Amino acid sequence: MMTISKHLFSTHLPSSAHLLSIHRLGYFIRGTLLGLLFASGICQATDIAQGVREGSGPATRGDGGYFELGVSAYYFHTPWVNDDEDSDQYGLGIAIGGAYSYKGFFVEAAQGTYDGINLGYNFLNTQNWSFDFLASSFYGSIYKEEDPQEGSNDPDRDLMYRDTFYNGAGFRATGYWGNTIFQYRLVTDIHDDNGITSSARIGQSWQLRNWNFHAILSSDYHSQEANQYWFGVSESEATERFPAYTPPEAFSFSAEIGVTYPIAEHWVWRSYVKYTGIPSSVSSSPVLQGDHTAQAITTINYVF
Amino acid sequence: MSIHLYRPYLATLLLLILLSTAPILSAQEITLEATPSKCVALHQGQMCYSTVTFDWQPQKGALAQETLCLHEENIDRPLACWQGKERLSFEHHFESSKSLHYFLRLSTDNKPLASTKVSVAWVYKSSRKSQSGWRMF
Repeated sequence: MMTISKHLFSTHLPSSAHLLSIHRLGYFIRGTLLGLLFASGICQATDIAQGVREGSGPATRGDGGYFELGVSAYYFHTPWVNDDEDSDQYGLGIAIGGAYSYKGFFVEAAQGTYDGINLGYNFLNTQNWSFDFLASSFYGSIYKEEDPQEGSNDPDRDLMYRDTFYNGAGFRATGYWGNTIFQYRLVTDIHDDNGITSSARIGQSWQLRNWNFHAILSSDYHSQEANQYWFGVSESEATERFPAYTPPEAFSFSAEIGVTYPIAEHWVWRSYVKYTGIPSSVSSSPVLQGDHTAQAITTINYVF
Repeated sequence: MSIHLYRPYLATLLLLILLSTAPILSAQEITLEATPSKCVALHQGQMCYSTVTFDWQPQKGALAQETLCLHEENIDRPLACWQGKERLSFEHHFESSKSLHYFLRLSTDNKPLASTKVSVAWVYKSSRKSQSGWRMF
């Protein structure tokens, strides 16, 4: 899903856009961001979130795509420190998703994605593999509007509401074996040189009559630079509440299970639950208050 | 000329008219419906599963003594056969990745008396091509 507000531009695909009050939107997005950062996904030569649901074999993208719009009900457990110290969030929202490709060029904004919005080019396909350039794979939020030279009146709040926008460019390979999909992804931040992230994900789908079940296991790597950007507190930023902290590079692991059911030719119901464990070297950051994220989302979408 | 000279021709003509109109009349006398008539799967090419009920309604007196059979296209063996109005519906477990036609026939005749279609549709239409190799725009 995607959410846009005055102070931020974020793509939160893992959970469809959610209708939240503005001040809660930030929490939501950050919770979602962690989901993106530390979760695995299902989409491939399409976002693995999308690919695992398709259960389709390797093939060249044809021209065309889809767009879907719906409503969602969600639960998030976020590890971020926030004003009201509430780690659990519930609500209703709007779900948006879609994908389109033309002569190998593609844009993806899959619901449930781990990687945000992807723009790229599919350059090679073999019997079991599909290879993509990722020109832009972005997610996160931009909060800061003030001139950094001017400082801030509330440094604690600045740390809680920090920029999390990450725009990766790199490479993606996806392997297909029946209803099993493996996807490897390596990108480096081109927004502000905030390090490298990489992920290896495996997804499996099953069809039971018209019900489509899926599961995804994922491992994500974040370089030290990336973790510092998201979870670090520099000496100059440190406050009494948030002391300086420098997280190392780290791996995280996540698991997801879900189900999708075609209600009618243009209506689809989709639900999934996802759990992501945050490594202790990262969860020790003062801006985090937990060592995992969890989300449960159910959506009904109209597919165009 | 005496009408007797034409009697054999008239009889033949009458027979031809009766034979040629018989299937049309029969087809008009019976209707076949499938409920639901559409099966929806998630992705193009997937098998679609549905429990489809076929209902037919012959008009009064029609086909009362005939043996009728319900057929799926491209399959010789009927799904069911029955005598006259002995049966007026049939429940079928539909499993297919493509749309299928169903026909009512007399057991003694291949000509369909009535037909209906169960369509297969998908929420996500695939645009993938089964093509391998490097791609240069």
